[in-house]
Amino acid sequence: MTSLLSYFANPAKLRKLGIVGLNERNGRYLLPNNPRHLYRAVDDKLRTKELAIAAEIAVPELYGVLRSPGDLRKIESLVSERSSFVMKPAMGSGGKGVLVIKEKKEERFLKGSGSSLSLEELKFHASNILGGLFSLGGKRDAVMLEEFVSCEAGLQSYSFQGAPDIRVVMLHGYPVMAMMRLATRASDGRANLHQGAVGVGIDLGTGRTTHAICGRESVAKHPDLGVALIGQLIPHWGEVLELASRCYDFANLGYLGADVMVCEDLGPTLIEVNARPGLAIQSANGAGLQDRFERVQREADRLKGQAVLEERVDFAMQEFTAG
Amino acid sequence: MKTKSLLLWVTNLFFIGLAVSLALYKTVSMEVPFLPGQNLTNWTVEARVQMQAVGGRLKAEMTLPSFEHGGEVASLGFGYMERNRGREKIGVWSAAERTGEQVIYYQASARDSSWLASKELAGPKPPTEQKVLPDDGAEAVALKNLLVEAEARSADLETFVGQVQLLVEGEVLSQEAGILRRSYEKKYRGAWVQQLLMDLLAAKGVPVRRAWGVVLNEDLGQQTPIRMVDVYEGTRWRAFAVEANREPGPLAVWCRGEALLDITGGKSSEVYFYVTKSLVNPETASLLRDAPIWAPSIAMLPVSDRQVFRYIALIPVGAFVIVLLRNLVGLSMLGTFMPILLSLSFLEIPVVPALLMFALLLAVGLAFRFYLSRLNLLVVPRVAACVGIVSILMIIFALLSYRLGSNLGLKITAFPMVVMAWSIERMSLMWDEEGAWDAIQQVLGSILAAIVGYLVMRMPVVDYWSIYFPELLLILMAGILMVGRYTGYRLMELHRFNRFSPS
Repeated sequence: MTSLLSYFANPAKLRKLGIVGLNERNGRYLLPNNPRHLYRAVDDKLRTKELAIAAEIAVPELYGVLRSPGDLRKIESLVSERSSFVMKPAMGSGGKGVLVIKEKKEERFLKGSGSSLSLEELKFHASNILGGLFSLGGKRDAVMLEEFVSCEAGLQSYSFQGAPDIRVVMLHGYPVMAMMRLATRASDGRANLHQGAVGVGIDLGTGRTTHAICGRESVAKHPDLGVALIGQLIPHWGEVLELASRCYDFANLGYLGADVMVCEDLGPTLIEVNARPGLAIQSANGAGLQDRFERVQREADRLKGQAVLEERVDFAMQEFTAG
Repeated sequence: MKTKSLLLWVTNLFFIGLAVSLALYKTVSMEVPFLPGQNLTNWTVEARVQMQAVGGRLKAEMTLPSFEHGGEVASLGFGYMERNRGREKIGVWSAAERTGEQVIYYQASARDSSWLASKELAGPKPPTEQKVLPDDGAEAVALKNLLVEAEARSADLETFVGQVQLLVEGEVLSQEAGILRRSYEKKYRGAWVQQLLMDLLAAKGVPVRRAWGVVLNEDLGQQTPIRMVDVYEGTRWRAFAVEANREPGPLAVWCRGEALLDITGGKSSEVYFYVTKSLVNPETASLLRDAPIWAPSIAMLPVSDRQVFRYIALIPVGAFVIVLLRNLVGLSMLGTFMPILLSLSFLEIPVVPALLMFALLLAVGLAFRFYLSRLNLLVVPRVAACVGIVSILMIIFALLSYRLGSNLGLKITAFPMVVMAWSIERMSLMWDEEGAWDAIQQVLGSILAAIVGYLVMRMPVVDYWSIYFPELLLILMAGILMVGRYTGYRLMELHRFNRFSPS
């Protein structure tokens, strides 16, 4: 009996830690703050890119778009001159259907993991995307071909193969919590936490990493690379938060997640905007979201939601830091 | 926030108030028991007559059960009366001007014991006149020989009927039985065994007449009347089914006499029986049928349509189970409401074989899907191919199990085919994208949800309420709305954050 109970946390304890569950996220933060009609701006990545460019946010360059099976022929000319690129569905979610090509060797396209594809297989992947295989509800989709951006070398050294990205969760445009996601051997080069990637919590004020988890365990080092994960400084931290917070200005979603990559040449670059960011960020930071949400809510109410970008970022950097 | 909570409470109070007052009206004024009775079984048999009216006057006479029963007539625009012919009761439907397809219903409800006792009927000895068989021709000779043979092998009327069945219905027939069979089949079609037994018994000098029976088994759905012969023995009539093979279940006699149905002004008439076990006594059942429309229950509907509406009332119960498992437990499943469809098929097929069939369908379908993915097909054709393979697998299962002597495989049609195909597609994608373990976890979650849903839907009290107190669905709705506003943790989150270490 005790062993069975130890399998579950005491809800009162979680409540005290201020951990937000999925029901609470949906019922108190997502549904009231994200009206349905605003989702298009983030669910359609082509639209997101347009809006981001208009808002002067750095994004990977768009090489081309395929909208119908007839367009599949265009792939050859689009990729012939390029040695690296990313192919992804315009309406995908959770990284589904994203194909990263890093290199081209003897007419074959090499993925980050080392396996390779032929041009035919590339076209098949594109036709799967067009058929709606990766889109929400199986709707017809478009294929995006865009620039492969390489991560800043310091950050890349924390990740096994795949590029690390930084997820910033925001309420009313105020950054609330952030984490870096690092690929591992177990996660197959991808940065999905529930597949074994490492989540690293970041102090919003200093941009230093504070805590890390892999699976459900706290870790101090990367399980494959052995590098220390705590106390590391994220370069361009202020710009990362500013860029994330800027997304609120074009997306207008009260509860929002921005995935940012710090690139070698471009600096902080927007990869994706997410209207339903998950809750693993709490485990990565070893902190609950609830208290931070409430403080932001009070601040937003006080300023009647009129705070400008700098005010929001400053508030977050002052409030959500250990010093 | 405040106004939304208020709105929710008002809605819920309205739902619950309405449900409680309707249920109270039924229990207090109509005396419908709120919980199913323990050892009381009543059967309602509905006779449904379909016929083509040829234009002009239409009159249909149907012989009704002669024992005490609750009778109910439901036929739009027909005049109805009952009359007696000897000791038999006849229902007479009439209309002045009718063309095209017509349907009339008669529902008889009575206790288990009355139906079972109907096979025997005490009565005065009827005048007997021994029928003399014609004494020339091959058929007459065959009849006589068959009579002698069956008599030699039997001890009483029951064994006599059994022996005649063996002699004329078996796989291997004697030459004479063959002649008789062909000739009677030609003259009397489906009624040939009945007619042959009538002739043989009359030739023996036993008072005999026709009878029609019904199998008391809910699962059969639509059944055709069982042909019987009714013989007088000692002080009472006894009815025997004339065909050796019939569906399983206790047999009851619907009526005895010259004919089950007599139509003037119509043609191609058919009689079907639908049987349902009713969980309230016949008086209450008839009260419920005549209840005002604002106090509805599924018991108001014709028996033949009840089954479907029973499922319709059960589906929200399944949906509620899904809501609980998703939002309170946090179980992940393939597709939102797919598990309910699976639970519904468990209601048709016993769970263990159903699970085996489901697992096998999924496994073979998945293997085929992995093969398909090597062919680089477009999405919709690929799912369509999966639908094809699922249908072929279902047919193969049915054929194999039938050959092996089990009807179980035939019930495989209860599985929702297109949903199965999509589940296979989704599962294979997840297998590729997130790994085998995630995919299997979701399938196990779906199966678990389906089993829980099935166990709840199968509870006698849930079944009872869905038929007699469908208004209780409003309380369920209120429950669903309440869960919709629940912002607490899910059980799985308590596990997920169990090792949570504050930094």
